[in-house]
Amino acid sequence: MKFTPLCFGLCLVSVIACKRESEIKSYNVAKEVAAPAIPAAPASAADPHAGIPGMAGMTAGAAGMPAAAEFTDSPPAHWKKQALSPMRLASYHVEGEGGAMTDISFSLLRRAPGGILANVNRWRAQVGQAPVDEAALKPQTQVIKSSFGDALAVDIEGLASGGDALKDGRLIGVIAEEGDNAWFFKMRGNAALTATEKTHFYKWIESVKPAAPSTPAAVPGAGAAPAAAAPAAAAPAADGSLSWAVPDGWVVAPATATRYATLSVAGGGGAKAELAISHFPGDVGGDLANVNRWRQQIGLAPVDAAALPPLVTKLSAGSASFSLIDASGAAVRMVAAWTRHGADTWFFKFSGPAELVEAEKAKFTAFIESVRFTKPE
Amino acid sequence: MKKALRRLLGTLASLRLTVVCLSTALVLVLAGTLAQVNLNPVEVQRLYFQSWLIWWSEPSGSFSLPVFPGGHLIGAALLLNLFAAHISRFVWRWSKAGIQLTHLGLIIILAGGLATDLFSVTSHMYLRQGETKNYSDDDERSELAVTELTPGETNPVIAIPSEVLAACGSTSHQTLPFKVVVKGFYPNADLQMLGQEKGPTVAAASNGAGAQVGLKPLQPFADMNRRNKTSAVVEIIPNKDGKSLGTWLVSVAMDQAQNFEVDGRHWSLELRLARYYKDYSLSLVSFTHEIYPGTEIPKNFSSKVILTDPKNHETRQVQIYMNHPLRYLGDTYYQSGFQSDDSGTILQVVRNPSAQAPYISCIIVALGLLMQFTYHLVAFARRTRKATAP
Repeated sequence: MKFTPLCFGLCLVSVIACKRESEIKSYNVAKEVAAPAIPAAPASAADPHAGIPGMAGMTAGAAGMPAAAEFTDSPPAHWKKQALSPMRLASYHVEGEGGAMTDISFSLLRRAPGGILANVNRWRAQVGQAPVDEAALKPQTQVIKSSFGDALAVDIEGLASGGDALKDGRLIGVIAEEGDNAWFFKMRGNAALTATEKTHFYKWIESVKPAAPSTPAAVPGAGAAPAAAAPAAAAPAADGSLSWAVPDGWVVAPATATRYATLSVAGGGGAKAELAISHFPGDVGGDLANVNRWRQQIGLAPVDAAALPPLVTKLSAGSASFSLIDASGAAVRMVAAWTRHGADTWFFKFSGPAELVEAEKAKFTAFIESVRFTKPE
Repeated sequence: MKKALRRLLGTLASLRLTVVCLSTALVLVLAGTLAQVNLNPVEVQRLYFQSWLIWWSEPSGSFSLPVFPGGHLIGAALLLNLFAAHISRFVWRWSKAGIQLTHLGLIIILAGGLATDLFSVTSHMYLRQGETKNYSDDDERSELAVTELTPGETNPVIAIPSEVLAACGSTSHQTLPFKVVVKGFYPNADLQMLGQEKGPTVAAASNGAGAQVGLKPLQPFADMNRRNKTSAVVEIIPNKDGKSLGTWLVSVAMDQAQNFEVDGRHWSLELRLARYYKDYSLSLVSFTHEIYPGTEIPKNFSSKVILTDPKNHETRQVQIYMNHPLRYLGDTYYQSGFQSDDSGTILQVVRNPSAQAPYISCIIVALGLLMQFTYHLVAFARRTRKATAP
């Protein structure tokens, strides 16, 4: 008789254990990516695989999120720290009377193609306000000081339908653009409380400063960063798979989730060309598919297998042999090189405005010739 | 009745059963080891050790037969045997107290092992520098996340586990204005762009990325170093008019969700590794990966993370490295590896409600053995003293 409960218990735990894996779950999660705030994948022009929507490693995974940023800040004593969501570098909230609340956040994103207007309109939509155009935006913005230079601030009052007036009703957004990055400061919450906290908010923004770099960022190719201003020198990538010489005037840009490394070069009038380095297992669909996808990205018609060989030239770098194509679309020129090493195919895709790519093509070729695989195949 | 129960107790408590169980366990371990030639260790674990019976399937798959007891059955039989022996031979005497304690320790370790098998969950948290996460991924299971894209701060998610998808049926949920009909489920597949020489010619789905991609089903990889590209083709049928919106290819090989609209509401579909959400989050501040000079052999990994738990008002910095895991709210975070480009860390997250069982068991067994040997030593010393007394 003493065994009955034991046997029953064993059966019960087995049933419970089997059941747990096959249940449909329903829950709410904090947004991982605030979709409109994320620039529309700046990688799309430079990522060799951007033409295949959704394919792993073939689109920018952490869309628009630059490399990790460290900073220091001095929030007012009454601000309470809260859990960081994936997009936030700092997150606070302030509680007012009667349950009123306002939420303060700080995030770093790549500069959005839509610019400030798109972001302001996104914020306006969040508080139930109609979008505005450039002309209407100007009078609504204010320039304030920040460690990242002058920043544009907007103060929007409104409540979206179904919104909770205790937690919403006013949004103050500040955008500071620095190079390719945009620093977003946002305070949104109960209208009266947000208005009260406005001065503290602006003071806090002034206090946010990038931390002095202690060690080089552990991003692929980061070892090459300091060499950007120095004469070309062999610079090993972070994981030691590759070494290369960074061309004079080129800089190592923040890596993305799907890129091994990114280098960029600036031209006149704000023009910029980017070299995206990535590697993927296998042949990623084969040369023809890759070339046609790139051609499609710059508005060129695909070619058939017979037409491909004349378009491809060969380039040697140490013991590696690279294939290279050069294609010009209406607005973008692209020079891409690729090679197989071990089980992977490595892609080096240099793209940007035609004039700048033409001017830098020799450096790109020299860069490819300097690439060495330090790990055996 | 009492007689029958006593006989049953006698059988269960017999030493013969112990020997049979231990011998069967030996054979099972050998069979499980050999099976890893064709199956990956996780699959072997599931089929041989985390099962009540091992099944042999006729090659065409039309029928299956149980051919050997699985790990759970052997473990449970051993546990019952030990438990029965403990009860039927239990005599409260100081001379036996050590043996009784030792048996109790063994029962705890066996029961703990079974509980670990049934209830423990192992997952991984992949963190890049500066990244914050409040969930871990299960590398062995996937789920179809159907997310409503709302303007608020949070998004409602319906997560349909791959076990449900594998049944290839129609799935609905009270919060969804549509049905998800699984047209095909593939534990592993090769995805290739259309239009290549000798490549696929038929699109896997009518909408989204799948309209440009062909799918070829593959056997799941036996090699643990290769990850299966679990994929499925699903059809969306709105409840309102029952008119299909088309099919979508979803795969863990895709890293972006695919969007669609039903009745003016926006949704996204994504097949991803199953997620376990936490009430707290971890942010990776920095990650160190040292190797022995001139080699690729890892010397030391360590991750500096910030633990933030608003519910319990806890914010602290923690260093996780070999043999120094972070234990928090039932989860244990071990330093497991690093991301291929060295830009982040991989933490193994183990949630095991019976994690303490081996420690408790070892203490009890050690105490039992100490008592038993001490008792015999004292008795021996007494006898010797008596024998040598003048």
